[in-house]
Amino acid sequence: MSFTGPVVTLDGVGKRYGRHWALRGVDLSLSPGEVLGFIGPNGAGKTTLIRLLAGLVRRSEGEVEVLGSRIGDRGLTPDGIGLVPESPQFIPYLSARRNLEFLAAIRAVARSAQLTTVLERVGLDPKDRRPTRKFSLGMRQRLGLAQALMERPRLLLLDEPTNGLDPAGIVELREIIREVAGDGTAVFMASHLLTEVEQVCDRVILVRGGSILKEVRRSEEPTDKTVRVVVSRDADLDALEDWARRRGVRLAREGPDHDASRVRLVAVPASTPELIRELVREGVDIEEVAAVRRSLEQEFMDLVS
Amino acid sequence: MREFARLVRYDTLTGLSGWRWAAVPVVFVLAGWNEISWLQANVRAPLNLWDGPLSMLLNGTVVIWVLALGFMLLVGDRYSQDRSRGTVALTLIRTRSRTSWWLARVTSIGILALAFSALGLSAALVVSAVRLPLELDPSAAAQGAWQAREAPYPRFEGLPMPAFFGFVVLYTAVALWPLGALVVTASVLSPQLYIPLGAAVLWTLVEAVALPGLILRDSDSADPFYHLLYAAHFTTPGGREGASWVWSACVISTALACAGAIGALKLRRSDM
Repeated sequence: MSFTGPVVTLDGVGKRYGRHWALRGVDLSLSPGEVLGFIGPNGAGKTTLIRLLAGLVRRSEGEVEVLGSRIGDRGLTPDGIGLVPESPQFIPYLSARRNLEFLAAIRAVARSAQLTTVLERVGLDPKDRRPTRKFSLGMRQRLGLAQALMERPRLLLLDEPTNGLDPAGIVELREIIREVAGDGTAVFMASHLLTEVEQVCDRVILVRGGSILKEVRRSEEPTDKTVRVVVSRDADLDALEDWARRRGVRLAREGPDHDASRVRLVAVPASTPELIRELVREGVDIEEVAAVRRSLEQEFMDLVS
Repeated sequence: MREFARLVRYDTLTGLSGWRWAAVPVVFVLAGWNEISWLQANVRAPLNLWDGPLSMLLNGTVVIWVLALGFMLLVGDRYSQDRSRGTVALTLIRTRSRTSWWLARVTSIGILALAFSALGLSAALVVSAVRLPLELDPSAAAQGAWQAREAPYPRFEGLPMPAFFGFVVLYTAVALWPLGALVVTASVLSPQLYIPLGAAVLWTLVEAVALPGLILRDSDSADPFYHLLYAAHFTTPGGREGASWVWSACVISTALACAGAIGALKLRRSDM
């Protein structure tokens, strides 16, 4: 069964542990083939949301619909969900392949050939007979990804998937996520690594204290255009500050670099060529100018601060 | 049903891992060695390899502290450990109902009890084989009359000793099953790591005080610990009738049903 509508719909979802709200008022939807990042500091509610989507945790308020099934109070997981928990553990005296075989047998969905393919896809040797207790953290993380992918999920839930992965593993993970999404699987990825999420996600939700602070679409142009300008003389810096004050542009000094002064102009009302022409007309001698795309990290830090 | 059987297999394989299993034969070798020394000092008739492990199962200290506490410590924190390791999530999302997931867990505890009983009593048999003559038949000591206090343990006279030993291994496993299941259920009710181990130690301490009295007084006890003693089903040397096998089956199955029902009800509304 393929879904044309949202794979995940959350409407005012909250989760309370005792008096503490781990999640509050979460509204979001996730479409097939979309990669959604959920980022925030430790304790932001990322793991709780992943477990809620997997049917492992009950909501305290709101409505949760996953793959056409309403996730109620009974804690049932709909078919078609692949979950990579944070630091998954396996049967330690069995090989990676045997572990997958026994897990796959529960639902009897994945076939032997699929297990070989999925192990190769995550960078593990299907013929490796070493028991998983001898695996590094990164290899266990890859096996965690393999068990989630082997049943061809329509929703892939990743909880801190880059934990323990080396740089090559992180790059491979990114490629796998893009491939999986390309096949129409919706991917929900919780992480506190902003740069990782930024590189792979179509949409990012910034969260703190269980509440969504902001949703960012990576394809969208930033609303506040930022330009970095480098000048070398104090007179130019004064002229630049004077111009910024008159135009209502925020100016932030980034500190001197050798003999030059670097400033960041935020919310520039014109295009970069127009800005250069305007500054030249103002008599500012420009050494260097570059349009700056605000990173997710800057957006997150601005929101948090 | 197939999904259930596969869950049981996965849970059993998970439950067989861990360093604690390596300690099982060591502890039973020591207990068996000690039992044989006692038999050699106190029984005049010739002994053979079967006497060590079978006599050991009448020793209250071994039954309470080695058999019961040992098994409860071995499997009691399985739910809490698997939950913190993420293993619970891996199997639960592949299961159609939490009740069948929990019942598979309870079933796997029975298989682990059989593994524990077979491993432990076989280790005791091996040490007995090292110290006593290897014979297939009952020893001269075991052929004495149990009710006349001549034999160190009771037995079914028509059953060959290897078959009787196998029967005792199986019976002990069945009797251990509810103890493990009830302790794991305690950790479902309160999933802190110290709960199952604390419950196991506390229960054992209570039984260490209560069980000797039960053995002397009751043959129809509802205490699952009492039914660990296979000898409780034989008429005592004092002439009191032994507990019926049907009554033991009732007590064991009721304890298992309680563990199954309480765990299933709790997990239906639990966050995992």
